[in-house]
Amino acid sequence: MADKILAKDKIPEFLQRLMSKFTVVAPMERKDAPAEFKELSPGDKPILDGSRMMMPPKDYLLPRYEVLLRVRQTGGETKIESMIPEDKPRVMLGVWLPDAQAIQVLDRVFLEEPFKDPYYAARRENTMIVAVIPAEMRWSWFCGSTDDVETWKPNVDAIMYDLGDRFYVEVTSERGESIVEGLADPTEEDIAAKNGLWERFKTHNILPFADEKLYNRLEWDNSVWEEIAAKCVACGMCSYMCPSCSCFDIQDEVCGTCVERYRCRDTCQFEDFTLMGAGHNPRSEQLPRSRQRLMHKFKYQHEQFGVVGCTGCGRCVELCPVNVDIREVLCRVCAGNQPEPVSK
Amino acid sequence: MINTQPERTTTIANPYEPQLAVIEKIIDETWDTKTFRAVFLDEAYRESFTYEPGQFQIVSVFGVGEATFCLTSTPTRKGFVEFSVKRVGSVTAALHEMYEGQIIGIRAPLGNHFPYEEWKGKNLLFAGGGIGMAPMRSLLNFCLDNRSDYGEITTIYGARTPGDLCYKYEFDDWNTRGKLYLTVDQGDDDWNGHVGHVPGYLRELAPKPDNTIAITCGPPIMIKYILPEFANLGFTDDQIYTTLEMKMKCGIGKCGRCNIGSKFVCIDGPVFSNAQIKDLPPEF
Amino acid sequence: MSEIETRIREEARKALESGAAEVIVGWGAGSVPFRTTPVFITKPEDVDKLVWNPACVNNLAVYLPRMAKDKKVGIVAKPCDIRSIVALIQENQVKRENLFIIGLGCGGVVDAANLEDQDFRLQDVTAIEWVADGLRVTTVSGEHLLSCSDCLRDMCLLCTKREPAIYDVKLGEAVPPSELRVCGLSELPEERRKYWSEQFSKCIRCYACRQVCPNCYCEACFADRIEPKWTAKKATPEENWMFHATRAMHLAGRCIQCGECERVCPVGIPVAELAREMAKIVKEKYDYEAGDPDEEAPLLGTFRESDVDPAHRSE
Ligand SMILES: Cc1cc2nc3c(=O)[nH]c(=O)nc-3n(C[C@H](O)[C@H](O)[C@H](O)COP(=O)(O)OP(=O)(O)OC[C@H]3O[C@@H](n4cnc5c(N)ncnc54)[C@H](O)[C@@H]3O)c2cc1C
Ligand code: SF4
Ligand code: SF4
Ligand code: SF4
Ligand code: SF4
Ligand code: FES
Repeated sequence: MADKILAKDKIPEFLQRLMSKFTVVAPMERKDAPAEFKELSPGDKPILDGSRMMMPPKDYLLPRYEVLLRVRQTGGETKIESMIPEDKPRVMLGVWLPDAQAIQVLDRVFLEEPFKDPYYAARRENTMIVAVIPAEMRWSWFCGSTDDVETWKPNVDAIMYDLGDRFYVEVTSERGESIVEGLADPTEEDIAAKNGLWERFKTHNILPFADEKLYNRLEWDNSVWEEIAAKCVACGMCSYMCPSCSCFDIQDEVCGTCVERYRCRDTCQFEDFTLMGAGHNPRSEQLPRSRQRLMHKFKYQHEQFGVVGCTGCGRCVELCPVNVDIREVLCRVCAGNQPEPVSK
Repeated sequence: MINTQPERTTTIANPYEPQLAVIEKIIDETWDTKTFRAVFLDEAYRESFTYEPGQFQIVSVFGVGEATFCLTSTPTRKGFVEFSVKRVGSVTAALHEMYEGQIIGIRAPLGNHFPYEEWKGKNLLFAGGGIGMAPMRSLLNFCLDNRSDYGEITTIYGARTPGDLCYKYEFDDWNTRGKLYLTVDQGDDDWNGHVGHVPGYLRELAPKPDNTIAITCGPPIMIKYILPEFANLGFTDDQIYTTLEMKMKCGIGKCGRCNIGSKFVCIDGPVFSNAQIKDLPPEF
Repeated sequence: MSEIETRIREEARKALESGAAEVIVGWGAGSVPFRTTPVFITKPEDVDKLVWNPACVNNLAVYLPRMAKDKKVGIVAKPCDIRSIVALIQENQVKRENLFIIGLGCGGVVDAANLEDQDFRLQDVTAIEWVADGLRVTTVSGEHLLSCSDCLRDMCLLCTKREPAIYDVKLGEAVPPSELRVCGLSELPEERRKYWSEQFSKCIRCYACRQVCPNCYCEACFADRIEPKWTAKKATPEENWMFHATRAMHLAGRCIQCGECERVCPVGIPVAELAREMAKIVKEKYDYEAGDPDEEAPLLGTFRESDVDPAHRSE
């Protein structure tokens, strides 16, 4: 598979060519808010360099609000319509590599048999993912501490390395070839620059727990859960914004003459997530909820699917209003609970 | 290990889409519980529909939502499904307001089932409390309908008061083809049966564990007290089975709320042996 | 380490030793130098975990309703946090006698995102301190002086009440604002509607704004109720309007403008601006200010002859 160079001033033509064959989905700037993945229209100028915080790509693949069914009851008749989206060839561009890996986690949840999720499948199965490695690593990233990032490469179709005035496009799957058609070949110098950037990504924020099999280290009884739970205000942001969190709620709503059954985001951080009709709640305190988030990502998902549910994108690190820094928590767990500063 | 390019599926059945069914019959069981018998509208679906004792269904009241109920009917009696509903919240209340002939949606069958094939030739001991009789009724009637496959079939069933006992119309059958012991926490003027909790009654009756499987379902508090009784009688953890309950939405392992550790009650359960339960984190 | 920080620790130690407080809620060092994190100190020997610097953004009053029900709680608080406490006391959520308040004069706190806008790489930042007329940010490449307007949170640039309203111990001096920012919402209804429609359409309904708000202490929020269902959980523009408009009404005369809602919103909705507008209306129409210890009862819990009712006014 031949790697290519995409000069930044050639992006408009590149997009135009891609859009003639695919629906192209990429982060678009928004007023006062993180960029959001949108289907591009001609002339759009997406943010492809990953330099800014963006909404996770799950917002496109698993929209935060999605109508599943529309039910019409007229006369004596009831009709159910499944609102499965159109399955069309798509390319997602500008996906942070950790976010691209998070899509692997979503794939496990939604595509694994026996129950395939047709809504997710329609958006996902025919979609190529082009990941990006920005020129500057974010302070909150700790990807290399969660996994061997080399193994992530084959999970995407291409990776774009930001080399300043150009992107180095590494093709990592066969179908990825179709993305780079017509682009220039890289020089030795380009290859060296790309390798340098990859090395920086790989070694960025390697924390003390990096070599630990966290799924063996996270324990049910650990004083760290209590500490997180004391601070946590259950805002749920750490999962709403997490690229791999996929929990949802299903609700019905009467809209005029029809009933909409929709799904929307939900999180294990909310009390009513597991609150049952008769009042029993197996996770009625914040402590088990805080434990569930960490254990689910680093232990349960590994047991279930063989993948780690956190890819070190750092969103929860940056956004948690009370500075529950997942990196610090993991350091603590591995250091036998000794406080250990993350980046001092 | 990692499949980079998932196979494209052209036609996928939508596991979120319910089958329409008509409520054929509603039985008032107790002041807060009704049993519904529903018949799928689609004839081909109705003919081919089959399930196993212990599996559950998710019932839609369109415009209100979905709720999970075990299939309380037995697959040996075809053409309909039954579920018993205790009124607790929005969907259960809406179901209680419905009448015969109305349309509901059903997603079924979901979840695992009782491993009754492995139990052939064994004695079965059912111990149920309250609405917990619903999942066991399916298995009980199934085994009674396959009577020759099993040894003794004994049922201990308890409720708060005589008025809280469900399925009274089947008691004669359960006591004819098997043996039925009833108990209530508090009797009334007409009650001349046993008074006391199910765990205590179990201790009194002291059934032998030899070649016996115990199936027990009921409120958490009953389960808590009955397990030590079984242990005292000599039942081992893999001789005891129960069903677990967690809040559910999707029923297909996607929405993420019914997990206990890495197991999901909706796909890995609801039926668990006590040995399996001991491997789970204590969070249910 | 600043002198105030040392004195906070001393007062905290004294309070714990004397039994004036069983636990002290304050800010501790965060996982990174431009952040702090809430800490709960119960042992006198742990008071050195308390810090005071421009990264002490959290309004810790959010913990009081759940903590101070049945025990004596000490709290380290900025003037805006104290206004929350006043409101909580007035609304009977906490009892004054259960609180030990270490009140601080304030010079405004920092929004780390503003530093990024000033082209700082956050990973290079090693310290942030107040200095005479601004802030000093130390990075791996040296020291940088910034003006307040360049890095303080919007709320702080709008804040005139920089002295603690109530306290048991008062530490530090208020720094008068060097320049006050005024909020610039259009007066035209259509423009305002358009502005808010745009803003609300971004909302992902994570409810973080509600969760960090010390005054959103309801055990069952209207937004979570399924019966009756006031607003559907789905993040559509219409439902988002419903959520925000209702929340704003519920906080009218109660929001004390600490700006926490705005700080935490992951999609940059100026939630506090809405609250500010409500506060303005409440001030104009009812001459009431939330968090003012001179008011004895909450606005919505009292009736005065002079009260106007906008719904009837036009008749
Ligand atoms: C495997 C299984 C089998 C069950 N079998 C029966 C049965 O045979 N008879 C019976 O009366 N009840 C049964 N339940 C409990 C029943 O599902 C709940 O009582 C019912 O969902 C409450 O719905 P609601 O809308 O009235 O309550 P609300 O409080 O209004 O709940 C809103 C929604 O939350 C979910 N939910 C709430 N409580 C539960 C719960 N306990 N379990 C699962 N989902 C819940 C449902 O989606 C429900 O629609 C079973 C639960 C499980 C998990
Ligand atoms: S760093 Fe946080 S937000 Fe990112 S994948 Fe991990 S848990 Fe999710
Ligand atoms: S961490 Fe919580 S919200 Fe996220 S996927 Fe796991 S259970 Fe769901
Ligand atoms: S972001 Fe922080 S405060 Fe919010 S739920 Fe997660 S851990 Fe709790
Ligand atoms: S914090 Fe922001 S996104 Fe979340 S509910 Fe509030 S306004 Fe909406
Ligand atoms: S009910 Fe959704 S995962 Fe089990």
